[in-house]
Formats: sequence, C-alpha cells, structure tokens
Amino acid sequence: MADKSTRRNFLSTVGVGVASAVIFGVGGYFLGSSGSRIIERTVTQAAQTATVTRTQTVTQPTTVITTVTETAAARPTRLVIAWPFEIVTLNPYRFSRNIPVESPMATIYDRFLSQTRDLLQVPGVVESWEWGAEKTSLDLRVRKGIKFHDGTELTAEDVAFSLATMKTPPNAYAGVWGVISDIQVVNPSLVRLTLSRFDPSIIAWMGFLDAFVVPKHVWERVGPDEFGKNPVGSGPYKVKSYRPGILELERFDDYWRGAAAIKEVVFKEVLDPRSRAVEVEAGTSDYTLEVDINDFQRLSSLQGLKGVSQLVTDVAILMIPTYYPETGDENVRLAMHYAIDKEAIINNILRGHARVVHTTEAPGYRAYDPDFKFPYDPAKAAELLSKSGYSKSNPVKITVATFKGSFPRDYEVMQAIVAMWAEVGIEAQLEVITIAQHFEMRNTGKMKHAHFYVWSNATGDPINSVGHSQWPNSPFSTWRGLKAANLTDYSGLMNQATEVINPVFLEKDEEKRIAAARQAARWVVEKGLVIPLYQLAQLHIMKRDVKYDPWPQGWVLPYYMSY
Amino acid sequence: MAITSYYLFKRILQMAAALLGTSLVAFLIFRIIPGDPVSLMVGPGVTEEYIAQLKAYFKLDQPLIIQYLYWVADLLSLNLGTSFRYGSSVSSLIFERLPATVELVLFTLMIAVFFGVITGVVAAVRQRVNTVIQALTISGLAIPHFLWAIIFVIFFAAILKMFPASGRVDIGVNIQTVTGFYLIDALITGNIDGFFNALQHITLPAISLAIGMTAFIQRTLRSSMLEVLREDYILTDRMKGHSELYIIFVRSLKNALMPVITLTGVQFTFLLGGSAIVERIFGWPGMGNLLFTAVQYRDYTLVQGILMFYTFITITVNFLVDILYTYINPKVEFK
Repeated sequence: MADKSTRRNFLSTVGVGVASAVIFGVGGYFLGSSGSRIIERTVTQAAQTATVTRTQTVTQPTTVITTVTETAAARPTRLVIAWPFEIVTLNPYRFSRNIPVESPMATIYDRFLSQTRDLLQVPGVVESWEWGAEKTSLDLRVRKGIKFHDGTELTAEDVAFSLATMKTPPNAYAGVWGVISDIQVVNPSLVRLTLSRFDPSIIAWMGFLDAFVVPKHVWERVGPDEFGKNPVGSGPYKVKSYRPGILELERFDDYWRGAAAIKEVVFKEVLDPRSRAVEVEAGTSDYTLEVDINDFQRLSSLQGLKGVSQLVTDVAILMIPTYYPETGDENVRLAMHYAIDKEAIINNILRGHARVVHTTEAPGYRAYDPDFKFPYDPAKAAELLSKSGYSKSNPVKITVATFKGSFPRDYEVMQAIVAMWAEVGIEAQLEVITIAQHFEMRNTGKMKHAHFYVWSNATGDPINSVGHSQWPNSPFSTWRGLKAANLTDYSGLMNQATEVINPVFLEKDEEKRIAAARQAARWVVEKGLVIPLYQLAQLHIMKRDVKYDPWPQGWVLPYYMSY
Repeated sequence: MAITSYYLFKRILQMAAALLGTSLVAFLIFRIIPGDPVSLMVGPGVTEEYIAQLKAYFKLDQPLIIQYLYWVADLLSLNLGTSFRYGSSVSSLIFERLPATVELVLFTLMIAVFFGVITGVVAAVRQRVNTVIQALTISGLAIPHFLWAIIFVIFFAAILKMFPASGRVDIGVNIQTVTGFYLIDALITGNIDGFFNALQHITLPAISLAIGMTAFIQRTLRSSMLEVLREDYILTDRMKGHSELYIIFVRSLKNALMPVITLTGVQFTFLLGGSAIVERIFGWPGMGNLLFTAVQYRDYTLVQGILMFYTFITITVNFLVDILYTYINPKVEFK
C-alpha cells in the first residue's frame, strides 16, 4: 500500500511538474510577445555586454532595433533565411509574384537593369540604353564580361532570347512585354527593340519583376521545366541544391560585380509567421521577415537578434467605385477621407510600422508631391455629409470589403476606420473577402462601396501607381467593372479621369509626364476617387552579426549581406 | 477465395463512379466561388486584350461543360494538366511534394496505432487504469492538432530547443533520394546520422497529428475489445486454462482490431489533406503548402489535380483495407 502510494505521488509530482513547465513556458512565451518596450529601450552598458539601440534613416526610413552582445567569434560562412513564400520553381518567367517573392530569383539571375534604393533604374546587364526617333524603338547595349554560372559569356543573343521568352504567353508578364513588336540582335553587344507604341514604363520594367536574363543555350537544351529545377543564371549565387522547400545557393566567384561576402545562402520555406519567429529564436535560421508586429518587438529585444522595420513601396488604399449613389456623391467620398485619423491608426494599431501618405505616390516615387496634404478633419467630414443630408442620426449606410490577415493588421485597421466613420455619420458594415474575390468583384462591377487594398509599385513610376490603379482604361481600376457591367457612373467623372491620367501613359517628355502624374495623383484624391492611407513597413529579424540594410522595394538580397 | 471477381468488378465500377463524382465537384467548386485566376496571374501593365488571350490559352473563355470535357479527356490520358501559376505539370508538382506528406502521415499512423492499441487494450482489461486513460483521451480529442503543433513548436523548439522548428532535415544534411521517404532512404543508404536527423524533424509534427488519432483508436479498440472479451469463445478459452496474455493478445485482439483497421484507413486519407495546417506550422515541405497556395491563387488545374489524386488514394486505401480484412479474419468474404 505504501509502495503504491509512493508511486502515485511520484507520478503526480512528475505530472504536475510537466504541466507547470508547459503552462509557464508557453505562457511566458505569449506574455513575452506583448512586450513592446524595446522601441523605447536606451543604451545600457555593462562590463562585458553592450546593449545598443540605434535608429538610422535612409531614403525610405528604416528603424533598426538592435540588442547586441559583443563577443568575438569566427565569421559564419552560411546564412539561412526562413522564407515566407513557397519555392516551387526557379523558372523566372512562369508565375506572377509580389516583390519579396522574387528575391531568390534576383539572387540567381541578373536583371536587364538594376535599381537603386531610391527606385532609380541604373545600368545592369544592359549598360546603356537609347530611345530612337518617336520613342518607338530602343537600343540596349549589353555589358561585356558577364559570365553565366556555367562559365559561358552573356551576350546580346541571351538578352534578346530572354525578352522573346518573356513576351510569350502564358508567361506571367507577357502582356507587359507584348508592347515589343520586334527584337533584333544588331551585333554581339547591341539589341534593338521596336515597340508597337510608346511605353514610358518599359525602362522601369527592365529592372522589375520577371526582367531576368537567362542563357539561351541552356534553356533551349533542357526546356523550361527542367530549367526551373536546375537553373543557370549570371547572378551572385548559383544553385547548389534545390529540393521542395529548401533552396541552397553558393557564391558565384566570377560574378561581374564582385563576389558576395557570404559563401552560402539557404532559402528555407517556412510559411507560418510564428514558425518563422521560432526559427530565428531557436537559432536554426539567421534571418526572417514578415513576422507579426508583436513577435517583431519581442524578438528585437532578445540578445543576439535585431529587428529592422523598413518602409517599402506598398501603399494601403481604399478603392472607391462610383457605381453606387452613395459613393457617387463627392461629399460622401471626401467625408470618408476627412474622417480617417491615419496617424492614430499607425501609432495604435500598426505600432508605428507605417507612414501616412496623402496620394497614391509615396515618398521616393517619381510623382511624389511633398506639398500636398489631405488633413484629418472630422468636423469638415460632418459638414460635407450634412450638405448631402446625412448626419450621425441619419447616417449614410455603406458596405466596405476588407481582407483579414493578408496584410499586417488589415482587418483591425478597417475596424478602426469604421469606428471613425461612425463618429461623423457614416455607418459601414465590414465584409471580409479574399484577394481572389477582390479581383473578381473589381472586374465584374460587384465591388462594395469601398475596398481595402495594398498597391505595390517598386518601379516608382507613376504608371504603376496612379496610372494603373486609377486610369479608366486600366484593367486594375474600379472603372473596369463599371464598364464591364455597364453600370452608372454616379460621379460623372470617368471621362475626366481618363483625360487627367492619359498623359501618364502617353506624354513623351519625361518631365511633363511626371508633372502630369503628380497633378493626376492629387486630382483623384481631391475628387475622393481613392483614399490613400499609409505606406507599409516590412519587418525583418536577423542575427545581430548580420549586416544588411533591407531594400525599400521589399527584396531580400543576400548579395548585400555580410557578417 | 475471399474476394470474388464479381466483387472486384463491382468495386472498380464504384471507384470509377467516385472518381467521376469527385471530378465534377473538384471542377465546379472553385469555379462557383468568386476569384479570377487570370487576374491573380498577371501584374500591372497588362491590357484587356492580353487578359482575354490568357483566358483563351487556359480555355477559361469556353463554356464550363467544354472546359470540363477538355479536363476529363486529359485525365483519361493520365494527364493532370499544367499548373496555371507555376507552368509545370501538375503531376510533377504533386510527386515532388507527396513523399514528404506520405512519410509524415505514415509515421503519424505508426505512433497512433502503437499507442492507441496499447492503451486501448489496457483500458479494456484494467478498469482503474481506464479512468486515467479516458481522461487523457478526452484532452487528446478536445485539443485540435494545430494547437498541439503550436504548443510543441513554442515549447520544444523555441524554449527548450530540443527539437528543430521546421523542415525535414537540417540544412547541410544530405540524404540520397531513393524512395523520397527520408527515414527509409537514410536507412537503406546507411546514413545513420541522416536517419536520426530526419527522425528528430518528423517527431513533433507527427506527435501533433497523432495525439487525436491515438485517442480515437484507443476508444474504438477499447469498445471492440470489451465486446470480444464477452464472446463465448473467450469464455471457452478461459475454461481451457489459456493464459490471460494469450487470450488478450492472440485470441481477442485479432478480432477486436477490425474496426481499428477501418479507422486507420480512414485516418490515413483524412491526414493526407488534414495535415496541411501542421505542415504549415512546421515548415514541412509537403502537399499542404502546395494545396494552400493553389487554393489561394485559384490555380484550378493544380487544385483539381490534387483533389483527384487524393480521391484516388482514398479509394485505393479503402480497397486495400478490405483486402486486409480477409487476411486478418478469413471469415470475412467480399462477394
């Protein structure tokens, strides 16, 4: 009996111990997530440990939160990135993607043109370019001395072949390159493009998305499927091994810009944000991004890790279709904008990881207008609403579509906006949709009164912001559905919008085009056709000894990393 | 002969009907819910004409019935089509990722069957232990597997650092691919370090999935065992003076296992798709992530291909379970 009792006691003790460890361990972890004090952390120094917080500003402001323990150690030769996107094929042309997704491709391949942190296109594989008469032809001079990973030289033939492949459907951006009607290799270092019409954005596109150069001889020999598994590029890293979920790269020593600092880089597919946070916390990955704001702040406070919040070229907007009587009313549209306290949203919901924007053009974009501000003015909102017969007791009723979890705190942001609107006489119902649904609704004229959306434009060219988001002829604007479903434009602004935005696409004088774009970006906001909210930040967590300034385009580029 | 040729013929017809039914559901379900795959494929800067061109390329401009017939014609020639999003053949995408998922599912089943059978037998024959086991079973059933996964990843990977947080093996560990199942491949190529590394990686996701299943098996087996133990032939065995261990593990368990086999077959097919969230949490490069992305981007052909493939596996596994019945209990006949 005594023996049984002892055994039972022992088991109870073990059970309670394990349960307590689980509860306190996990609880502590969650409690730790809520700590956001790191932002206010100041410099403290101990005899052997230095804890430093520094803030650094570049063109797109970056906030660096570092907790550093200074120790001497050998420099690692490998960097593992817990990667938030699936890696299924390395064929650079096949699928559409957002900006960060293309980072592994940008590590293996070179683009025709490079882009600076200021979003400017600069020479890359193409060392210079020259417009022809009427700007319907373009000469591309190909840099000499660039080698592919198999040792062969990159030539104009490869550039021409890559462009021809990119413009062949169903490659994702074939529609963009379709403007090229003829590609001619004039000599081993000169390619001449003939365009079916003037397209001012073609230069920007050459440093963007799928504009990568592939070796013609390899592609033709193995075909696109096999190439996607065993690619050959001319980028700073070559593929060491590729299996589902893991892409191992090794430094290409003959890279034309000079060899990278880190010998091996691994992209490891970890799609769940909390698991990515665990990866860097457990030390099995050295770098990750797109973690939850709470995790970002908790991990930034850990010794040996640092967090970098980088503003990127993504702008959150509210798209307002005008095929409803309510949103056809300019007073209502403008009241919706005046009633939103963007600063409060950024400070309280996004914890400072965003920046207010007043047009579709964020700072750094070519058509950014520093002089234009759209103020937060709830009194003005109420006044505009009263002109249309609405008030808090007789609110205008609308439905607003939002995502939940597709972008940082998207749903919470919209909840806050709905509450702000309620204060001035706008009663909004929130409806959660997916991105796929958003596209479908936009294309078919079935949008709600307003849609939350995030518009990316890493080119900085206004064509890809105010242009395609607002131009009535664009397949991406709210006007598309209006026209497709033959709905009534209650604002009566569609033709005027076409006239105002046309020069962004058609003006051949670049200075005039940018000035027109700036004007157009201001006009669409003044007319309430779009409500720009904020510029998003991308949250990066890395080991404290990794030296890297994230790019405002959202790329993660190991070539610029070092220990 | 426990399975007659008439039965085989009937099953083949049933399988064909099931595949046809699934093909209809798989085809229609993503076309009914809103979401335009072409808009999700193209970036800014494309024209309406190009969008129309792409729709024509993928035959999305055709009436639904014509689209369906094209797809079925491909299926009949064992061609699952080409992924809209990746441009690669659907079958190659599936076979690239399938081994990871199947390995995880099989390992999960091994754990669940092992512990489920032991605890099920003990619970049936030892009433006092049964109370404890039932309490544990309820918590196993009540807490969903993704929650176990989150708890495990935080506790054992982040805090204790006892297990890796994600992946199938550590970076730098190379296992020569033979079957695609890392545990088996490591063993047959004599890569013992690789085997233990893979074992360490599969443990947490497999346990997360196995907990609920163990509870199911335990409860099913316990009920079944209690029934069998009340059978006359068991009483006869006892009267003959056979040992209790022989009666439980040889005479009773064999018959009591029948519903467990059915359950395991069902769970195998359930886990193939149901492991997606756990795969995501543990960064397990299996079918889960592929299916998730395919649904997100309305990659019709990929989703349809995966669903058809799962259906085929489900039907096949059920058939194998039936065959297994006849081996375990020769009294069972399928006519």
